[in-house]
Amino acid sequence: MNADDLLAALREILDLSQINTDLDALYDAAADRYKKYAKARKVLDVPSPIAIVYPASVEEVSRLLVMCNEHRVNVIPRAGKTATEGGLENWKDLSVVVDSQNLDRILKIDPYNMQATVQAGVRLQDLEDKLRAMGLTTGHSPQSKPVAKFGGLVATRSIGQFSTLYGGIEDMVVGLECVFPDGHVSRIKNVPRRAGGPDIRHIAIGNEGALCFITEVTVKLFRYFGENHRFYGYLVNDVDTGIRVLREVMVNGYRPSVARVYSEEDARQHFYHFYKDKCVLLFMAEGNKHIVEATCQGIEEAVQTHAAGIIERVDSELIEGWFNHLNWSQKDIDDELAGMVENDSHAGFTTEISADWETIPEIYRNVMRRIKSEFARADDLTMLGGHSSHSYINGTNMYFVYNYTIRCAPEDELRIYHHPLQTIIVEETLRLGGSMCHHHGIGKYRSEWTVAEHGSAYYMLEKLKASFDPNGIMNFGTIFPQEEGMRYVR
Amino acid sequence: MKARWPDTYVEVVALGPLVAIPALEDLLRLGADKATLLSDPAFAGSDSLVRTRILAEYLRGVSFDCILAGAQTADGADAEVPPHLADLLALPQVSNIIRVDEASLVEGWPLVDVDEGRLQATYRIPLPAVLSLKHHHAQVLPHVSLRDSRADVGDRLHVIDNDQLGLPAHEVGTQGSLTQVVEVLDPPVRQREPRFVRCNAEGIEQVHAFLQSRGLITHTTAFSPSHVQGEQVVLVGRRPKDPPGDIRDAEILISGGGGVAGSFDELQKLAAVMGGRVTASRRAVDLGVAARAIQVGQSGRTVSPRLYIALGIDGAGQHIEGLRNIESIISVNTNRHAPICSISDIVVEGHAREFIERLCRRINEGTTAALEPH
Repeated sequence: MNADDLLAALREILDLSQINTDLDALYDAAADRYKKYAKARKVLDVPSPIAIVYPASVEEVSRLLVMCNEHRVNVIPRAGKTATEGGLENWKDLSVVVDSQNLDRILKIDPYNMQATVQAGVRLQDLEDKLRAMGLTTGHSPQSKPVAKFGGLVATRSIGQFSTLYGGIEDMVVGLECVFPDGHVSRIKNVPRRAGGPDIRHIAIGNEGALCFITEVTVKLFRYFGENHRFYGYLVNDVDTGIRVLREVMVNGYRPSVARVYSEEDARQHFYHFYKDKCVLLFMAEGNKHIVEATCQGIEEAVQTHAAGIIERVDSELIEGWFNHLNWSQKDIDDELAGMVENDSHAGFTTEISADWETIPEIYRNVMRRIKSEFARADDLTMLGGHSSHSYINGTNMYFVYNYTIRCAPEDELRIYHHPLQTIIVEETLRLGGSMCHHHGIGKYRSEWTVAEHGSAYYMLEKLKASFDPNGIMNFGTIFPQEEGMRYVR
Repeated sequence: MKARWPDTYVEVVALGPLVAIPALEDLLRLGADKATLLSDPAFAGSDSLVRTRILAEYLRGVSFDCILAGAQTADGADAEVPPHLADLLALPQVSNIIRVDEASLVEGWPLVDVDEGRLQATYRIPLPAVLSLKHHHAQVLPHVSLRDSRADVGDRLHVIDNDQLGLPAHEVGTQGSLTQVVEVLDPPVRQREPRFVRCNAEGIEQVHAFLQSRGLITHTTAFSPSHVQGEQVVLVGRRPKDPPGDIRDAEILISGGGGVAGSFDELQKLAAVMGGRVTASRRAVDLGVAARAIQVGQSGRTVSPRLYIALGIDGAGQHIEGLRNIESIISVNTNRHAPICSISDIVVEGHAREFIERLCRRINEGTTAALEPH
């Protein structure tokens, strides 16, 4: 099948208005935010897809996948378009992007049973706005909330800024509907819990479009008590101290919605107005007032326990002010793009990992040491730091952030800067038993370590791919390593 | 130039430690014919005069038509080497160049555009000469591609130490230098101890006094000499800067954010009275009240005015990232907890419109005005 045949086949399934072949749109669809700089500078090195299609029903999705499966057409599922790890990047000449734009209906909000059902193309912000008017919330608030859509949020195992209370998306999804390459539609029903064998929700949650296309999602709802929000901030001696306080709060059973510690370098980016060259520890408690009171007490006690490492408390209003400016919108993304073109630079990259309490500080130290001593372009770094922003009973995450002066051609930046930095972070994390991707997904540019990430359990993942997508048409290169694509990586 | 006139011979000369080699290699990969690094541990700590002497020592031994230099050295940040060098080599020299006309340079009688504040002049320079380019000049080098970045250019790179140059040891390095650079900073703006004032007569009086004490209320005129020194440097013409001044060159910036979206045009009044330029935060640009060309911040321009007046700007980290080396910051805000207040010398608690009106009136009254009744 060639491009013309593919377009003809698409026209048999969809209306013309559902097929986008605009060259600018196709160029835009060739890569995601991983290559934001090269893309902005118009030097992308990957092929554009042949078309972007907008199915309006699960039946159309099913027919599309059957056709693509039969003709070995690569399918890139897309919803929201805020991916950062190459998950939406195209590595095949014959590709079609299946966008959930037309699957945009909120199907049901059920405040009695505390669950809401939406189609994959519903923006999180739109559902959240409706829920807030009813005194409810999804509890999910990734930075991309104003842009991100449910299909993408679920497919990438996204996490929100209040995860320490509400959990990640995997804790919120009660059921879903998805379509496999052979056209089969699976509906996982919405129940509070089940013991009906392995939890098959997790085949779809986090599949990154490499196994199936998610068409519908049902998530839990929570009561929203905006009036009870309480904020705490502290300047602390070092990242280790901050992590010890986070652990103290968590192991005592408290669930603040936000619990974070920032390195000095990272703190400067967000809290220049009060950080005084120190690490910043902060908490937010939310929920019903009794829980909030108890959580506040738990935070104060934990801080007291580690008082030796605490320098001073920060005015709560300053933390609240930060909280009120957390999310970025489509305008932020557009502005970033214009800035990259005009200034020949961008605002840096991140790599997020996780590990148990004991290991996280060691990974952090090792990464800092190795980057400073091994990274060939260390002199170009203008910022290197990190923060822990999602905590659990047994550990936490570390969000490494770095920025650098780009002294190379835009198309080479990732190979020369980001990828070598990410390699050090991933190597140290895997060596010490952590997970190389806490919440951005594997995408394409960490797929070279997928086998190392899972070890002997990769067997299970591999079998899923072989079983559900035997022809390998689903998002080629994502999650599952492909030698053919490595030319774009190294 | 190499692309258009392949016969042009370009040599890159640098003075510094061996860590400069990768940068020189990149320039060779971009087409320079030869790179020379003057490097010797004995040179460490040399001040600008000594550095110039070292460079001159080398340059006396090579032939050239023209020396192109930047504005400042990369480490010392002084802007003295090009004029010193011209002096030692007895050559004409021009600073603050924003454009060199390449064709005329090749012909041997270059036309250069020079930034003279609010004006822009064109000079014709006899060769050989030292031409030193300003920071924000129009001619930017392309990048080295990944393919080329692996090319071996070692055979065109020469490192010359003091044994080869033969300068007396006591004349170079810290021994030979009368001045020492202690530290070079391009610091992001730091926290200050702001004085909080209200937007009333008393508060405006304090703002006015502050501006006066820092010499920020004066009628500035562009430097405009009646004749040009130098025997052969010819002033070809002088005209208003074209395109109209970059906000990065302004000494006073009146900047508006989301808080002044409804009255953004008012900022121009204050800018006119103070002889400044209007700039904007991301938020103001997003709201459609300001053009992106005047946006300050990480994704906009980085500015270093002497005075930055921030009206209705919250001061996100991305905005502050665009502020460097600013002598004075005044913020006008209704929220005293706004981050920008922490880096301000004076915080005026109040509304921008009223502030502009009162300050403009106060400035126009001159220095003797008394407090108005309130």
